[in-house]
Amino acid sequence: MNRIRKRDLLKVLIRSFYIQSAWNFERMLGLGLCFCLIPIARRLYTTDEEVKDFLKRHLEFFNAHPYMASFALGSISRLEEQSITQNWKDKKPISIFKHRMMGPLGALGDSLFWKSVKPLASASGLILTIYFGITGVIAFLIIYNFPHIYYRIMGIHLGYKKGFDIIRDLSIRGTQKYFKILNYIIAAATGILLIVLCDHSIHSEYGYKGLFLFLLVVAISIPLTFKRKITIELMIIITLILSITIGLII
Amino acid sequence: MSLLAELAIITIVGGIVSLDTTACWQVMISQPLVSCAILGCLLGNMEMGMTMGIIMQIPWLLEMPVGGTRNSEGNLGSLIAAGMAIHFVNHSITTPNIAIVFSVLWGLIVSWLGWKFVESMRKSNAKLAYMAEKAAESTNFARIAWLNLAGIVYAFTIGAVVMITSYLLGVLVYSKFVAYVPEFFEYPFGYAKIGLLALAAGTMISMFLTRKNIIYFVGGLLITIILIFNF
Repeated sequence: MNRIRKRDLLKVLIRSFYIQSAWNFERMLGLGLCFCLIPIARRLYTTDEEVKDFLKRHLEFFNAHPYMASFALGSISRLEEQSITQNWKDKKPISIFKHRMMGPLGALGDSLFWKSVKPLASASGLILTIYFGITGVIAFLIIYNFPHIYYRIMGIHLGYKKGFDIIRDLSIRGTQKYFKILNYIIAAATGILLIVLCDHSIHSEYGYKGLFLFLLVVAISIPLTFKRKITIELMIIITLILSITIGLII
Repeated sequence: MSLLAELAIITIVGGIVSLDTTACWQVMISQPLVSCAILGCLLGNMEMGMTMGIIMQIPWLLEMPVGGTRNSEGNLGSLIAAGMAIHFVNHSITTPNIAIVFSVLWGLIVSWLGWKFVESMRKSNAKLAYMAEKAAESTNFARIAWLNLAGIVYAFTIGAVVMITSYLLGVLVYSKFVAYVPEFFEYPFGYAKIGLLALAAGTMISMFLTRKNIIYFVGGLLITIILIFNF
């Protein structure tokens, strides 16, 4: 029988928005993870000794992508519950499981959100803001937060449902085909963005001179930003100097 | 709007942006496209806010907040750039393009300094983790929750302090700087906006264009050209 109730998982979900509050170099998400799991400890453990062990277990080093950490929260809740219903003598498997989760959760989250969803939402938001003003900003928030909130909710739900088995669902290899499709969409969005910004430059007060500068800076910035050969601050400074110099010449 | 009201708005928005960047939610209201538009709306010049957001959104995508990587605080830097640009335009200066370039440069300094503050915050957050361990000994749930909350307060304070000090300093430095820039620079300085948009396009291309997906890139390009010519 399940001891953890839906409202406990809901509390964990709400708390998961604050998982990075006390992020630090030594234990990273350790304190945040423990904070998120407090409703589970309250539900499952009654003696001081058990609670103490629980808190110490989850204050250890932990790191993951903040959204994908929901998968860890859900599955840890399930494992803690199983450890009581199945009378585990040792809770070490929970700590080992947590450590095994870190790599896949980080890799998947970074690839999905920082390298795919965020650039796609940014490019789309930018294009729409140029043509439709504030609607573009709202569109950016919707495009980004739809998968964000979905993954947070699904993470807790699936993690709790599958327990140990969640690790099979979190392999990069298994999700590769979705990333491929996402990559094609971002490439198309990049093409659209390039033309939209060209059009924006022509229609500025600088006309075709603006377009010339635009294409020149695009051509220069591609090799410089590729593989981050220089810092972004330096790249912005170079762009400003180049633009103003060309502006003075033409 | 009085300077005091501007400072209050800048401080609160700066604190919220600092929170959303890492400490909590991460619903991306801290991204320049959103935060600059919100600031513009609150300071009474939404158009300038959105312009700054459009300029600053894409280049910072190169810096990914992966694990414990040390990235400059582009969100705070962009916000201060937008705040200052709006301030100068609202106070009817005759050289808005020069003001924008100065604001962007000032924002870069703030983004670099902002990271130093964030780094110190992350180091001192380790103390909260040790204190939480002591709280665990006494099975004190509330104390652990409060320690986590302390991280939020700390992040808000850092963002607010960085914003208010850099804003005041920026306005002061600009009043000295502008005296040395001849007014005929106003027109060529306007090219900087186009240059920054080109940097955004270049960044996206260098990040995502590969041999495998070039067909989709060209497809997006051609469809947009057709649409623009038709409308």
